[in-house]
Amino acid sequence: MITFAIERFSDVYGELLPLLDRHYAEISTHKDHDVPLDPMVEVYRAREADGSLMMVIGREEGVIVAYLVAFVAPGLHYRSCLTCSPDIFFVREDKRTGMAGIRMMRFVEKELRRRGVKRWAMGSKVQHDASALFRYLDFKPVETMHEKWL
Amino acid sequence: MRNFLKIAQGVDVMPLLVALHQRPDLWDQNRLRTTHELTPHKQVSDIWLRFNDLNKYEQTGDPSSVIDEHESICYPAFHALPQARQMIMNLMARVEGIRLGRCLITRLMPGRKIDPHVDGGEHAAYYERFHVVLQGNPGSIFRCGDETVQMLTGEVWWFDNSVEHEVINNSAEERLHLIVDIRTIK
Repeated sequence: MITFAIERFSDVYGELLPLLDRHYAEISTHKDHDVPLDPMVEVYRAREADGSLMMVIGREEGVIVAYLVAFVAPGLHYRSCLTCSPDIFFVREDKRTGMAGIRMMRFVEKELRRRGVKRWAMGSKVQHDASALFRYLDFKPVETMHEKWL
Repeated sequence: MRNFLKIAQGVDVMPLLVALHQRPDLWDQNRLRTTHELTPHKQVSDIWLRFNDLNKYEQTGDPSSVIDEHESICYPAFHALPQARQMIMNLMARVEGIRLGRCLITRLMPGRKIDPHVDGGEHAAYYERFHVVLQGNPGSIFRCGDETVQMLTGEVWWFDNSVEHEVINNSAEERLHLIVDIRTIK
């Protein structure tokens, strides 16, 4: 059984680090360019302090097996539109066969609705395509992001 | 949050935990709350510190004497656990309580749950409900309405028990809460 809850970055970061390393190793394009994982912890702490950081943590028997990190704030171009912008999400490899991802997203949606968020955006990697999940959850594709390493 | 309010943290719960460890015989001496037909608390163990006088119920068979009666009496565990009494009285002072109702210590093992329910009856409406978390670890989920929190060791919470609530202990440890009903000046 996996249960989801909002947790505080400062409480959970140390426990989360091993999963962040696995997450980075699996999906990051930065590692292919010798850019190490080195989160700007002070920025996350500041966003936790100003209330714009949302961390959803999924646990099984107390152990973290999934997480979603996002930012909740008015849109920079749309002051009246409280917006949830994506940072990262991850489900541990051995927990991907069930409904954990869908259940986590549903928990997030419920929480965002509770907070009065109007627009929720999520990204999907080309090499790790989660777009089927988002289509299932009634998201609409609106943008493709490109990157060029210089 | 509308349904939860954390009113304190950093409470020293260790003296009471030690006392509970030394008195395992106190658990489940009274099982009415956890065994009646429709109870959502089937998977819970209790220590009653203060509760309704069950003599009335046993004499009349009238459940309203438990559900609606405001007056609680002290059970032997209240005298056996001075560490709990101190916490309860500190809480009374903190929230400016004017009447003390039921006081229970509850235990929910890892992987167990309390089914969704609303605390009904006159007693629940009359008192405010507080939880002193004696042992609570990440994964111990408490949902009330559309809000979910994790109550962690040493924290004290008020919550609105008139709203549907449920608990899932998905942590690796027992969930131990001291539940205190207090009438406050509203």
